[in-house]
Amino acid sequence: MKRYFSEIKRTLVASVLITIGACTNLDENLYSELEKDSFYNSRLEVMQAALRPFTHMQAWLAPTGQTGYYYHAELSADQLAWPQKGRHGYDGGDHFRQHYHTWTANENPTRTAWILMWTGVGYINSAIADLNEVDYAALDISEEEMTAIIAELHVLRAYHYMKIMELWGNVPIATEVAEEPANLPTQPRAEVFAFIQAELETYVPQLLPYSTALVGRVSATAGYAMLAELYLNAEYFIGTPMWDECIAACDRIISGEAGGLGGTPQLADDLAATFSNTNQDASEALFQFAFSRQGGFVFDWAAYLMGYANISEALDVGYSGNNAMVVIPTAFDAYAADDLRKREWFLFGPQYVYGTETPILGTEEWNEQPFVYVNSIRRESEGDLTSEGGMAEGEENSGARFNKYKSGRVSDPNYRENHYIIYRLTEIYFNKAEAIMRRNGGVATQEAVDLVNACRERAFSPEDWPEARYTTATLTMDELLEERGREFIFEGKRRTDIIRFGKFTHGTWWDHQPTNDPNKEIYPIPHTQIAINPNLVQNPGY
Amino acid sequence: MTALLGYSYQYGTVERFSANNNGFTTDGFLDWNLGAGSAIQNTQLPRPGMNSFKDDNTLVAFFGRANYTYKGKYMVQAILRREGSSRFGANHKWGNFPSVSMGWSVSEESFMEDVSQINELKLRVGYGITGNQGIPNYQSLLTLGTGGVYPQEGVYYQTYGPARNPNPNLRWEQKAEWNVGLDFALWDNRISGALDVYDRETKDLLYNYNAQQPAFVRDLIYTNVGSIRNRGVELQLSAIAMQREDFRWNIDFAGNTNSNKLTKLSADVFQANWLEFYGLPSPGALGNAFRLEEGGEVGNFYGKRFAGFTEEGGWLFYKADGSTGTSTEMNENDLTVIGNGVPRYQASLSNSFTYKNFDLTVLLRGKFDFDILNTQDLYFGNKRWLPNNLLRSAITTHNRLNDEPQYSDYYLERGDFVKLDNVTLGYSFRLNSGYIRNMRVYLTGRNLVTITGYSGIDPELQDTGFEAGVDARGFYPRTQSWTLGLNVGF
Repeated sequence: MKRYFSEIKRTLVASVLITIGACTNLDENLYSELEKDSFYNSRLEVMQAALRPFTHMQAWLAPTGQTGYYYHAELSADQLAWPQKGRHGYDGGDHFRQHYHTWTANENPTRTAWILMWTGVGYINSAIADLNEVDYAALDISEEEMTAIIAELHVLRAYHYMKIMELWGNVPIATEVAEEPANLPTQPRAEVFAFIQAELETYVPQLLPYSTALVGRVSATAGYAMLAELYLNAEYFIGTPMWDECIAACDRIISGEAGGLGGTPQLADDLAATFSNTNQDASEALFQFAFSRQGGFVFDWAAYLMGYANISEALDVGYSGNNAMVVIPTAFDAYAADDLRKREWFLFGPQYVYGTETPILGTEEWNEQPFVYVNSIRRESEGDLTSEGGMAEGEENSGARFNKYKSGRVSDPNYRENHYIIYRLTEIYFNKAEAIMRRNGGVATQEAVDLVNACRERAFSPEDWPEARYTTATLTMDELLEERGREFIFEGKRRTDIIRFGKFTHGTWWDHQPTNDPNKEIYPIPHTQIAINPNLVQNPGY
Repeated sequence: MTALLGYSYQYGTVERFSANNNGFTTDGFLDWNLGAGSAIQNTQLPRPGMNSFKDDNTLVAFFGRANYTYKGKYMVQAILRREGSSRFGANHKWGNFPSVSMGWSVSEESFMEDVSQINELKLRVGYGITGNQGIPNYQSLLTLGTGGVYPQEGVYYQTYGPARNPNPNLRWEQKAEWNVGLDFALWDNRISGALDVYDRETKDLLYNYNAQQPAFVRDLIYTNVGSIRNRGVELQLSAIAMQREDFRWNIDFAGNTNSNKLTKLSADVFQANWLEFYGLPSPGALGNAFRLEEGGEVGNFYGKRFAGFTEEGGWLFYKADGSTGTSTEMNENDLTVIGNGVPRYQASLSNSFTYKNFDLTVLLRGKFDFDILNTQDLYFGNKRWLPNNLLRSAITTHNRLNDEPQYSDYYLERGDFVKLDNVTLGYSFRLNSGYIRNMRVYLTGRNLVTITGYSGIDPELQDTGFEAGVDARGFYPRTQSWTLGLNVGF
C-alpha cells in the first residue's frame, strides 16, 4: 500500500512537472518503431538489417501473390496465362494485356512491379549505408565477415538491377537513399548493364561459399549464378557475346569452388526433391528463399497457383487460392506422353479427394459435377469442345495446373516448409550448354548434349530414356529452348529465355499472335513515375 | 469590447494488445485462458499470435479572441490561434491561424428607421484560416520497422528496415475561407432568413502521394501538395405564411449548392497525376470507381462508356477514338469521366400547421443533379451471377446482357430524389391540472415516400468525401418508421 501511494505521489509530481515543461513540447515519442540511433548494437541487429531486403524480395520474385517480376515473367510468355474464368479473373483486363502484349504505360500490375522492385533497391541502399557506419569490431564481427555481408548486399542489389533492366531496359541507377526527391535521370540499358557487371565482378569474389549456415543468403553460388545469367544474356542486352565468361562462371559452381549445401552441388536424382517440403538443403540449391511455416514465413503460392477451396481436398491441404494462373495448352502439349515431368509437376484430369476415389466437385461452371482439369481454355460447359478458346473464355477447370512445389499434407511434419529455389544447378547446366552451343555457332557439341542429358534423364523411365536422350543432331537451339521450358516451367524465367531466343515478339503460342514489335521486349515506365520525375524518359514505342 | 486568452493541450495515444491461440480442447474457458490452447507446443496447428502497439501525439494551442461592438451596429471579431502539432517536421510544427469577421447591422442605422418593412438586416463578412493535422503520427521521422522474419543460421529473427519515407518538411494543411452573409427579417418578421456565399481553398493538402522511385525507399510519402477549392451558396428562408387566431402556417426552406474542385495536385518537386478511390469488389476486381484529377471535380466517376451489346449479349464499349470494342479490347486510355456522385443541389422544405389544438408538420427533402453507381445491379443484376440469387433486373432490364460484370456508365443512374421525410400530427390537451403541465399525443411517420427515377433501393447515399454516390452491395435499407407518442410534462 505504501509503495502504491508513493507511486501516486511520484506520478502527481511528474505530471505537474510535465504539464509545466510540456506546454510547448511537441517531441514525438516512439513506441512500436525504432530510432536508427538506438539500433545496430549487436551482431544480431546488424544481420536483422542486412536481411530486410530478403523478406521483401520474395514479394516480387517468388509467386507469392503480388504482381511483381514473376507475374510479368510468366504471363507475358508462352507457358502460363491467367484467363478469365466465368465471373472470375477479368481483373480489369490486366492479365489479358500481358498475354496479348497489348499493355500500356498505365497498367496496375506493372506499376506494382516497379514499386516492389525499387523498394527492394531502397531497402538495400538503406542497409548498405547503415552498415558502412557500423563499428563492427566493437560488435565482434570480423572484417572478413563484414566484407562478405556488405558484398552480399551489393550483389543482391545488382540482381535487383538485372531484373529491373530485363523489364524496363533503361532506368536510373540509384545507390543511395533519397532524402529529398532526387528525380534521377534515365540511363541507357548499356550503362545499367555495365553497372551490374562491375558490381557483380567486384563483389561476387568477396562472397562466402554456400553452406548450411548461409541457407537463404547470397553466397558465392548465388553470385556466380547471377553472373552466368548476365553473361548468357549479354549479347541480347548490349550486343556483346560473353559465352566464355558465362562458361567460366558456371564452372565455378559445377566444380564446387563456390560451395554448396553439403559440399559440391549435385543434380537431384528425381523430379521431386528440389521442390519438396524438405528442400531446405536440396543438393541442387544455389540460391533460395528460406521460407518456413514453423518459422513464421510460409512460402504461400496459393493465390496464384492454387485452385479454390474444393481443390484443397485433392491435396489434403489447409490452404486454397484464387484459381488464377493456368498452363497454356501449347505449353502442356510440349511434354511428351512419357515425360515424367508431365505427371509429377502438374495437376491434371479428374480430381479426387486425397487418397480416395471420391470425385472433387466443381463450384462454378461445373457446379456439383465431377471436377476435371482439361488442357483447353474454352467454354466446354457450354458445349465448346473444339475451338482454340481465348483469354475471356476460361472456366474453373481450364488448363493444367501447378503441382511442382508440394507442400505435403496437413499432417506432414514438414507441411509447407518448402523453400523457393531461385537458382539451381540444373540451370547452370543449361546455361553452360547454351553458351557452348552459341559459341559453336548454334550447334550442339557432345559436352553440351551431356550437360542437358544429365538433367533430362531423371524425367524419363530407364526404358524410355534411350529414345528420349539427345544427340548432337537432335539438340538444336529450338529444342534447347523447348527443353528449358519443360524443365523450368513455373520458375519465373520464361520471359527472359524466349526474349534471348528471339521468340518473345515473333513467336506464336496458343491464341497469342506475334506483335513483331521489338519495343514490346521492354515494358513502358509506369506513367505515374514519369509524371513525378521529369528526368525519366519513356521507353520507345510507348 | 471583450477579449479572451487561452491555452489548450491535447494528448492522444493509442495502445493495442491482442493475442490468439489455437488447439483448445474445451470451450469451458471461453476467452479467459488463452494459454490453454496447445498451439504453442504443437507446431502442426495454426500458429498462435500476439500483437501490441502504441503511438502518441500532442496538439497544443495558444489562442486569443477579441470582440468589439460599436453602438450595436458594428461588430468586429478577431481570433488568432497559434497551434503546434507533434506530427509535423521539426521546423514546421507551429502554425498561425488568424480569422477576422465583421458585421454591420444595417437595420440599426438611423436611415433605416423609416423603412418599416425591414425588421432586421445584417451584413456579415468573414475571412479565416484553419489548420489540419489529420495524418498518421511519425511521418516526418526516419524509423525502422519490422519486416518479417528471416533465418540467421537456422533461427528465424525479425528483420528491420525503413518504416517509411520520412518527410522532415511536413507542415500544416491550411484552409482559407471567405464567407459573405446576409441575415434579414421582413414585414414584421413574417419572412426571415439568411444567405451565405462561401469560397474555401484548402492549400498544402496533406496526402500520401506517390514518391519518386528510385531513390525513395518506399512508394508513398506524406507531403503537402495540392489544393481543393470548394465554393457554394446556402439559403435559409422562414416564412409565416398565414397567421389567424386559431391557425398558423410556417414554411421553412433551406437549400444549397456547391462545387468541389481539385485545383492543384502538384508542388515544386512533387506532382501527381490523379488520385483514385473505391476499388470495386471481387469477383472480377473491376478497378477503381473514382478518379480525382487536377482541375477535376471531387466525386468524378471514371470508367468505360457503354456502347451497346453484341448479338451474343457481350459488352461493347467506346474506345478513346470513338470506335467500339469488347471488354478485352479496353485499356486505361479508353476510360474517362462518366459521372459525378456529389449532389450539386440540396434542399429541404418544411411546412408546419397548427389549428387549435392540432399541429401538423410535413418535411420534404431532396438532393439533385448527381449520379449513383448501382453496384448491386452491376454484380447481382447479371445472369452470370447464377447459381447465386439474382436480382429480377437480370432477366428484365438487363436481359440482353450475357457477359461478365463490367464497370461502365451503364450502371450510372441519375440519383435525384425528393423524400417525404417526416410527417407529424399532434394534439395538445389543455388541462387544468396542478400536476400535469402539458400533454400531447402525436403520430410521426419517417421516410414515408421517395420520389426518384433511381432503380435501386434508396438514392440517399454518402454524398461527401471522395467516394460519394456509390450504392454499395452491402447497403442496409433505411427503415420506414411510425411513432405514436405521448408527451406529458409534470
